[in-house]
Amino acid sequence: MTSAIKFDHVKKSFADKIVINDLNLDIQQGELFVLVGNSGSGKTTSIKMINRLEDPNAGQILVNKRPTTAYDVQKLRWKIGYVLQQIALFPNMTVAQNITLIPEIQGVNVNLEKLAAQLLQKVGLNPQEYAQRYPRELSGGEQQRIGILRAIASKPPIVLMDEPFSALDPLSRANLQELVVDLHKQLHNTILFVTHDMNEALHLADRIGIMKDGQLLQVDQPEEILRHPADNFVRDFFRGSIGSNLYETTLKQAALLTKFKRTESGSRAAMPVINVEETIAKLLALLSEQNEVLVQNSSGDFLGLVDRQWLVTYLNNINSLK
Amino acid sequence: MNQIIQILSERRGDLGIALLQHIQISLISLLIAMVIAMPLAFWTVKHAKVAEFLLQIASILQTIPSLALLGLLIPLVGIGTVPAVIALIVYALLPIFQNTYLGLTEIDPALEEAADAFGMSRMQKLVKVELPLAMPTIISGIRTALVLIIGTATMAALIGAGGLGSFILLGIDRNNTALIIIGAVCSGALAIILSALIKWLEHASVKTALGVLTVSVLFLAGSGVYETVVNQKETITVAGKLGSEPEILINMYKELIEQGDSHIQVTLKPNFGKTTFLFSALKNNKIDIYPEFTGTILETFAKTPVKTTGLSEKETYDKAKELVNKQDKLTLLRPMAYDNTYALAVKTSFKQKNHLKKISDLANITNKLKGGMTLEFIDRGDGFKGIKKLYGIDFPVKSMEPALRYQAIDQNKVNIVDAYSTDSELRQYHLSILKDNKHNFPIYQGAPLMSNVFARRHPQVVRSLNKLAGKITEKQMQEMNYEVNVKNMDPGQVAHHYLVKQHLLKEK
Repeated sequence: MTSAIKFDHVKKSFADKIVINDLNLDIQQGELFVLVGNSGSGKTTSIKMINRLEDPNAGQILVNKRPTTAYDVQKLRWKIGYVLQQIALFPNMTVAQNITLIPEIQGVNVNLEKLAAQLLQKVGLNPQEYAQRYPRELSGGEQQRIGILRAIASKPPIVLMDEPFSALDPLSRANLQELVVDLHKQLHNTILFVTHDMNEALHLADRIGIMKDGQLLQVDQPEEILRHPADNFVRDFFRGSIGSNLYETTLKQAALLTKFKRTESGSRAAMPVINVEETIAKLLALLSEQNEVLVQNSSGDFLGLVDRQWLVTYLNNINSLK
Repeated sequence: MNQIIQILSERRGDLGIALLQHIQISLISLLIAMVIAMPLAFWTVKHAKVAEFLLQIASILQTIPSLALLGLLIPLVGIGTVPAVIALIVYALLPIFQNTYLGLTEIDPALEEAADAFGMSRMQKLVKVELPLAMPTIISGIRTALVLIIGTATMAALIGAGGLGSFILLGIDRNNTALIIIGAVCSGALAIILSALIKWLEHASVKTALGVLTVSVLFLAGSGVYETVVNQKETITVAGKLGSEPEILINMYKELIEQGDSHIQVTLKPNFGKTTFLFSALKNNKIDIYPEFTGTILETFAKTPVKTTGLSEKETYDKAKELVNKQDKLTLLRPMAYDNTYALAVKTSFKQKNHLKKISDLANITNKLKGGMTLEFIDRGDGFKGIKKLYGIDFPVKSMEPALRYQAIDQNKVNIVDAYSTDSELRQYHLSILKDNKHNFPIYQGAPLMSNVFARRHPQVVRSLNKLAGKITEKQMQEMNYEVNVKNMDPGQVAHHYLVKQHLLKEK
């Protein structure tokens, strides 16, 4: 594994208020790393120091093992995609112009029109319908799709996403989370994703870093954090999200706590199927009529089985977290 | 309405020139103001304190009355286009600076952050993001400035920069509403059309906007070059004060000079401004010749006051000639016959009935007299005060606006008024002048004024102009003023007829 982004004893304060106190973190190439924490925890400041929208007061940040200060700022930023919470599409440009803005300012020799069309298709938007529209003519979810396309149009090895979905409705949010996972798989880039939503973190992350008051409390894979929370704060933070709302918790998240069963009692063909992205609430509805339900991912791969016993174990596990 | 149409057809050429001058002055000022204010605003976006300070300065400049600003600029840069353009720039700075600054500072910070994070250079950010987003606000600032400039540019006529204001000034001077309306409507229409053009630019692409900018710069450069090329011939510039009389006179000068030397071309600048503007223009070689009065030289230009009461025509001329020669190195040629001084006028019928010839004769009928006079005349030492003292007569007098006193005497509300002895109204309302037999009024005889150097280098011009010496009586001048002011005849035509009739000019 090679380091993509490394925080090395980074300190940052605004006026007299310390926002980041001695941050050390190593994010590997190809990782989808989610930095999660409440507002004011310093997570946004942390990512803004990577593309030097802010500079640390002490310590250094290395991008591809080189200190950010050793890069020409413009060259550094060209290597790093950026998605904003406010979306910030340029209202004076069409969708296509927004998407291809970065290759254009970099002077890359590509057919911009074709590139815009390809990218739009990738996120399921018809280029003929969308390319010439202006941002104000799109829904919030559509706008952020364009925001993401804009960030990846020049295929930067690193993409920073600063609470990109926090202003969107739950449905758009779920769709866009899928998009991020898909694009990450396709592009093999390094994504640093910031959110205050634990569910979102669990859903997306290869690894999660939990921040509080400018300090990293724990960095680990989602399952490990669930099973061995570093302290009460981490445990409470997760408990607050997972299991507290069966209508928002997906089977995928539940599996972090309670593994699916592998042995089936009847024939698979007769069993009802549920997608791993569906919520526990949906599962409840199916289990009221059936004994066992088959779990698949979106590609139709078999992931396991769930039954009422599994559900009871899961709820029990949540309880033991508490 | 008919009068307007008639003037439009007669003065098509003048109007075209005035319009062109107006557009030139306005556009030059606007462009320079933009070049100053916009980069300043770009720069101060990052320096809020400097911006506040500059906004204060611009606001203060804005509060200076335009007339005062023009007046303040004259001692610094003289008269003509330069001070006019400077004054207009000063007025245009605030709206352009303010709106550019506002437009740039009001851009959503998230968009600024995005532009930075995407690695845009300062220039790319400005051209691709900041300018397009701030454009509507900037454009509306430019439009405000333009409307302000076009309106204020009418004042430029006061200091000899020409433009549509010359129509308005002329209209006020001749009490000719049609001229005022033409000047005002053209200026208004110009503001609306140019403002609409700029409004259209708001939605145009950056390329179109740059295109329009280039075209207007080329237009200005082109018209500037054209003018210098045209001016390369041996030309003499003759200017005149506001009013019909100077305009008639300078037309005579032109014809006489060009007849005397066919290699010389005379450019006329009629209604060039008020007395002191012309005087300083002459001293700064902006113009070569203008007609001035002997009395004015002694009263207005003398650095030490000269007593003028009781002087004869010749004494007045000699003193004036000596004064400008010594003090300002100027040559005053020999004067014409008429004396355009203050006078007391009564209706011709009243004059005959009461056997009046001279001012002394009024002593017999002071109980019958009711006067209507301008405030200035009543108050001047050589005006009504002087009359009372020198002639020992007194009668009740009401102060009136210049135009009103003629109407008052016409309607028999008063029966004696003050006047200038060549006013066309004397002819229009059938009034007669009483002779100033005790020489109370100073002598105002018109004569060409030019620099000593010019006079020495152009003996032929001096000879040509001297043909008018001792010519043109008060009656003749009244008649010619009447033809121009009341009958709306072309001053050039009137001048030509006179010269031909007096055999000063060979009929063409």
